[in-house]
Amino acid sequence: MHIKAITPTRLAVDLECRLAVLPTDEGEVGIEEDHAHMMVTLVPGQMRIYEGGQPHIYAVSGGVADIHPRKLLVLADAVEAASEIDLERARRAKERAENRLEQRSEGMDVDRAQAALSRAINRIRIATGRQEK
Amino acid sequence: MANLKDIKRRIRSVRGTQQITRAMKLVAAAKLRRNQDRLVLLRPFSDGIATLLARFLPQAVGDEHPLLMPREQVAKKLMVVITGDKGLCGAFNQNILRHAERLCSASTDCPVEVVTVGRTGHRYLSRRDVTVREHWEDIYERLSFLTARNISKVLEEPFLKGEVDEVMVVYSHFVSPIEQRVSSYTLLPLELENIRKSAALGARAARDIDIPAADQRDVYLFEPDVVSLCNDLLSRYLAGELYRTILENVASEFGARMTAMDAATENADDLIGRLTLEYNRARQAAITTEILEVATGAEAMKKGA
Repeated sequence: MHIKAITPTRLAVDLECRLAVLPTDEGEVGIEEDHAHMMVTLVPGQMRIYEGGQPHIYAVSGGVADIHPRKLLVLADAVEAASEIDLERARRAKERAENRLEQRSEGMDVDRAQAALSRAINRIRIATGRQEK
Repeated sequence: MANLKDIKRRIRSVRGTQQITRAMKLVAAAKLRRNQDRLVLLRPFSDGIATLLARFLPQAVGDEHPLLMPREQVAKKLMVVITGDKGLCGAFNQNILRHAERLCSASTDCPVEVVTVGRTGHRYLSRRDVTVREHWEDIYERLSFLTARNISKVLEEPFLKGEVDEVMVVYSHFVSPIEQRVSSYTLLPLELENIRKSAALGARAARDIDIPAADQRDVYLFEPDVVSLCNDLLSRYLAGELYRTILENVASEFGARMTAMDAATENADDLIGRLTLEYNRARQAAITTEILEVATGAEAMKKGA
């Protein structure tokens, strides 16, 4: 099965794989070859792609996946391999979002801050291999 | 005749300025190139979104989605004015702002509220007789798709709530590095026709991006369901449009800055030429006076002897 992940800034993933695990609203969904046609909404989380034994792990922010029997197309706002994540930046983003949620200033966008927080936590978790909670 | 030292100092200062303008031109050129790459890289993504939309939208909601429906009566408009954060790029920002103001005053039958993107636009329009509803600045250095998504959510919301009936965008379209064209278009309601066009373009380029073609008879599973998927796709499509527009505007700004800084560098050359001429003249005059003085002195001594 061929998987492609396209973001607004690049072609992030383009490889043959055995199994792809995608983060959705309902939890993780594993896709193997000969899967039925399906469209899913992706939520911020972890995407794992298995070529052989060890999976490639990516942080995905929201997006959609278009699933075909031999092809899988992921269109996401951002896809980053664990090794590409700037941990320092993610930690700063987490702190910033937490501060904003704590202070709750007038007219602030709570949804946006919460989304930023969950994105940051997700990236930190993937970059550190889930050691940091 | 000006003092030799003064002229020399002026030449040095103009040369200093020229070094800066030349550097700014080179920086603008480099950034323009990087920006162009981003525009190219955005294509597969936005065409992909459009392809999926063209495939599923008709079956999900027809063309009756709230984001696609033109309002019978337009009671209020929202205008997104995209400018640069900085000056020193010729009349670039002024051209956009003038166009925006003209559109505002042309819309006599319905009030217009403004969302500014870029510092110069905000600085100018907030002092004018317009309501600035939202304002974004300092986003260009670290511009990402998520920034565009945040902005587009702020536009989508009042439109869906019915607070505004139309959202337009004013920006500078990038024609070539030396040509920018101030343009405006209607962002909301979206036009299904444009989505289809974008999807068709995507299909033509499918060999590069390889979006699987769908068979009409294919039975699809949807999760969560086809309507919320389409909502999701539409709001991403919207963000993509806005992101592309911002990138275009940024490209135009760099182009304008290149041209402006090129002209400034050339002007500095002219100025240096004129000052050098003046300097040489002044120096020659000084030498002539000195020789004259020596000669007169010698003459006087001869006479005296």
